[in-house]
Amino acid sequence: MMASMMVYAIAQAVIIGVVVVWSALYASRRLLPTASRRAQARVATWLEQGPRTAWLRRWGHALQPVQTSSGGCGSSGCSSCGACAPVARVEAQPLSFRPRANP
Amino acid sequence: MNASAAALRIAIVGNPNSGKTALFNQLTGTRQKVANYAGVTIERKEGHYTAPSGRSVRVLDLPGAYSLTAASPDEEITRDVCYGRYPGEAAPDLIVCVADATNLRLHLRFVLELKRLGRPMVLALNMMDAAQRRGIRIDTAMLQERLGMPVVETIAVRRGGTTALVERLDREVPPLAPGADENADLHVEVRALLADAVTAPRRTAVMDDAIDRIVLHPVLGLAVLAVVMFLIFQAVFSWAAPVQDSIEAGIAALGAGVGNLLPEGALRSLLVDGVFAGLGAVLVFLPQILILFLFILALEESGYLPRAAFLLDRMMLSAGLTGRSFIPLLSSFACAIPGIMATRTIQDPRDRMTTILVAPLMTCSARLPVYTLLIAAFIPARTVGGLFNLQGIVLFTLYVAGIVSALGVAWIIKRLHRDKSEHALLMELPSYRMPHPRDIAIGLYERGMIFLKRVGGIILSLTVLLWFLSSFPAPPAGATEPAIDYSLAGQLGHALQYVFAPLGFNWQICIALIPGLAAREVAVSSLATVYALSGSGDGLQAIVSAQWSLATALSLLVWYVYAPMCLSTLATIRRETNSWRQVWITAGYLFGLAYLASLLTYQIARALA
Repeated sequence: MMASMMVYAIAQAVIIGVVVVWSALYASRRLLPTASRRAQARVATWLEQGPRTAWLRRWGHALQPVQTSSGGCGSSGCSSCGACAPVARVEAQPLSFRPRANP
Repeated sequence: MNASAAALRIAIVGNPNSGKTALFNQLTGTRQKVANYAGVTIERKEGHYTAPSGRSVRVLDLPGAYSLTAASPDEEITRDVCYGRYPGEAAPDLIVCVADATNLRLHLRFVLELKRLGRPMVLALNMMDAAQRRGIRIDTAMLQERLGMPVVETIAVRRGGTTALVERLDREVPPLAPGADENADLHVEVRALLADAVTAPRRTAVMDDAIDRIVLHPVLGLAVLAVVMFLIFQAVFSWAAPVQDSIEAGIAALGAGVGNLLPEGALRSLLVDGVFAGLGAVLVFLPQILILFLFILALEESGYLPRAAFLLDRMMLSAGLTGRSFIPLLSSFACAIPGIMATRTIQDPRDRMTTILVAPLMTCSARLPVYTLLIAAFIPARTVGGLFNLQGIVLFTLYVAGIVSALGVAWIIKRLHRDKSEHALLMELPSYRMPHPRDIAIGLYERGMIFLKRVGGIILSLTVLLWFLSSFPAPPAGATEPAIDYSLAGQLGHALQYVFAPLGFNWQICIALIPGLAAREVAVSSLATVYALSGSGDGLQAIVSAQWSLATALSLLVWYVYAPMCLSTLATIRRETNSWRQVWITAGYLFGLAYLASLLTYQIARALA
């Protein structure tokens, strides 16, 4: 009885840990895409370089973020406009002001 | 040579609202947004298909343009791609120019301008079904001979309506011979072409004229617009209730079933108090969101929206906006992000900036769960005047409050800029079209899936994180208050209450405001999780109704009229304006407005109570 309770407690902790970590990673990827990608690249590079074991280096290589664009609108984190599709590159259209000619 | 190197690169070009994106969707099998008004496509879209011969074809869908002399940022993309000046994009091998067969007087001018580029080109005479219904006869062979390019009839919204075009594109299209006179007047050429190849009983459709006499009337038209908007919000409340009740009951039963299977503990709490309580509280709003979009999609397809822009132009002008801002602001009712991006169709940079700044004040669909939760909890579901649902009237008022606030802010910005200039609205009014049930069904399906993906993605992840922060650290031995009071989220909520207490917000609301910055619906799921962890066994609506004062509910409703927008909107403003300053100005003024308006609402409501 005690043993099964112990097993359940450990399994519960592991499941909650995995779900919470996944949620944190997912939320940061959606809300702070550039920062999270940069952090991922840093971790991957750290794993790939230096005197690491082969499997750690392989893991670091696999962890390197792939260069992809977000939705067609380019706005990371949005999924509600419904008009998005993958594009090769996002075209920024920043506003630029030119002084008006005096009438 | 690999397949992609040999791929034919075609660009779909044409006047706005000629059916380019519908054609693109037919060719590539994608589902890009289409609607019956100009300015839906504001970016270059790319797709692929394989021709019957096996050749790979890369298709570019470009924003609509009236000429190659670009007047707005979206038209610049089209111009640059056509001239082969677009960075990283070679000139297309072939231009497919799409022209509305019912409006060749306008569209042929751009065809002739594109012809002067000398690139291989095919003219797709689109909307041939509508042209035939209106008795317009086009001598395609004559047009082909006079233009010196292949002319193909298409019906881009009908399955199989582009087969002839696909077959023609699969054959060789020679480059065009340069025109005889580069300086010839294009309008004169168009008139000559029309005289030779087109017979039309009248310029506009009889039905369009008859409807426009009412909907474009300065008084009747505004009345029609008000009635249409009012009916939408009535329907959102009246039609959704039975389905909502079923969803709520189903989720409650599922949550109880899962709860009974698991022993007391953190995992059970995560599933019951976090996932089922939190996500369930948001999921019940799916029917209302679908009803709202049913009307929006029908209006988009019908061709009524540009008329509404035309009607409101004078009002928007007096507030410092133009009728051109109408479509971006209307897009913001779905989500502020496409709305802000749609401002690229506005030529004047100051008008564009003003529209960007006020777009977050439009009531996006993410606010709907917050509004309907509070309205259902505090406003009785009784009929007013024997016809109208009181809850629907309150929802309509909240939407109007957002619109009025946007006009007010735009007016202040105009005064601050000391901008006296006015920009005339030149807008093409499309023919009315009966909304196609299949297109509406696809649109609703996509809206539903987007909402469900949000629920299963960002809302789920934030709800889990909030549950974690609301559950840990565990209360100390001998603690007397509910466990959540000792958690990280509980302590944060109590700390924030010092700032928000004058607005009538309790610490539970303060907690919900933070994840609500990521996506507004998360505020609802967060409230559900926080109250579930506080030991309140009822549904969120019953808890809110019992524990909050009316003044608090009104204050929170007003907060969400102005609430600082989600992070993705801020990121879009940053990109579109290329300025952090504008981001801070937008976030700052919205926060200030929200705080001030909620403060006034709460204090006045409390004094009156």
